[in-house]
Amino acid sequence: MQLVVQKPGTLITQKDECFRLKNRDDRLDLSPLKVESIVISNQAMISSQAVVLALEHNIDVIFLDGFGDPLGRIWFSKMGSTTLIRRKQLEAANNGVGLTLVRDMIRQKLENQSRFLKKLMHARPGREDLFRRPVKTIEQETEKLALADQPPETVGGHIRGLEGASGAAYFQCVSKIMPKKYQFEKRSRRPAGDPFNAALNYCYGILYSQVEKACILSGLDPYVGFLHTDDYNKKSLVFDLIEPFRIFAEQNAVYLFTGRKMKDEYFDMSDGGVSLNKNGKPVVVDAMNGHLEESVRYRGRNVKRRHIIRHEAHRMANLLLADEDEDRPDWLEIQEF
Amino acid sequence: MAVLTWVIYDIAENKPRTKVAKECKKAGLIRVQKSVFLGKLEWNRFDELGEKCRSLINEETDSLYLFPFSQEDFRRVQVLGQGFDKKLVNDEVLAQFF
Repeated sequence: MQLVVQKPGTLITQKDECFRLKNRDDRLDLSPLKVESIVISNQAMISSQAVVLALEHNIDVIFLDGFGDPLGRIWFSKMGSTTLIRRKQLEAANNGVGLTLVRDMIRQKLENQSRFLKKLMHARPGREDLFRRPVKTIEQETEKLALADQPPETVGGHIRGLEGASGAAYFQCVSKIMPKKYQFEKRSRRPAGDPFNAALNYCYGILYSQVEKACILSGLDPYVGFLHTDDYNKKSLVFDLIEPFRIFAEQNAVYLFTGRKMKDEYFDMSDGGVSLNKNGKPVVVDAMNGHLEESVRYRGRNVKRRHIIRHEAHRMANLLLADEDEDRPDWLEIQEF
Repeated sequence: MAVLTWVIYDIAENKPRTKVAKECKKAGLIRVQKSVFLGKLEWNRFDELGEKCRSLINEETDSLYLFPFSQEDFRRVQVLGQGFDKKLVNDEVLAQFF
């Protein structure tokens, strides 16, 4: 299970080879065998022994900021796999392979978007008109992706442009199927301008830490990206690789609102922004975990969504390792609709 | 493969009793009564816990049981009064908040 520490002033120590969480009025002992990750989203104290216990049991400790984005993690001091992968990754960033990968990722993302909209459309007979235009826009943008055979310097901008255009259409369409009071104008982050964006940002945050973990486990360097390159000290690869998986967070957020699971008291409104409060976070985290834990069809097998992310990261690593004249393995196959 | 396990014991001396309780906790079992633990264990951990406890207790005076328990039967369990959280012992809680 995931252990989420969110009460301020919690003390995390180790006692008899178990984690002991203490607060003014609460105490919890938990065996490390049952914990998969520890997520700390508040002011807490953690003892070095507890950290060592976590490291020994391969549990990662993640620190979140107020928006739910991971700030950092405690992880063993080695990368998961061979350094050769990282060298190949750097090479790929400079030759065509990187761009091919980026194109694959963005194509998958756009396909996810249009498939998801179509799925929502089929569930709402009589309201098809709402969906037709946005789906068409996204499909057109997807076609333009194939034409992106331009010099490497301009491809990035081109891809970002069509990604933005389809994203705008997508989210406008999503907004229209929300309950009236939760409709929104556009995507917003830091701070979110409305409850939907606040919940979605939090789900993305959970996803980020999953994708980063998958990168590290498969030996990829989270800091060397292909589309989001050259940003100073940014986890560029994580931002690239999350694209095809964003759909998991989006589905979860959409279903939370259309299923009327979200209430006004889950959100705090403050200086122009909206954020999830301590009543809302458990609802969103529980739903997101449940969503990631669901099995869907993937390469002819039933696989949990959580594991799809790891499979694809491994595939990407293998693809980078393959020699140039060899047939590169195909990757990215997320078809659940 | 993991199996739902009941550990039930009757141990005369304080010291080995505490040690057995600690071992159960370490293995990830949840205390449901004073001398009863319940939780999901990998099969090899099941054997491991049995061996550890064997070395702690006095086989002349004490008794300790490790019961594997099927999911089918667990569904029929009735919990009365101050009982345990069925989802928690069955590893169905995906996120624990504190």
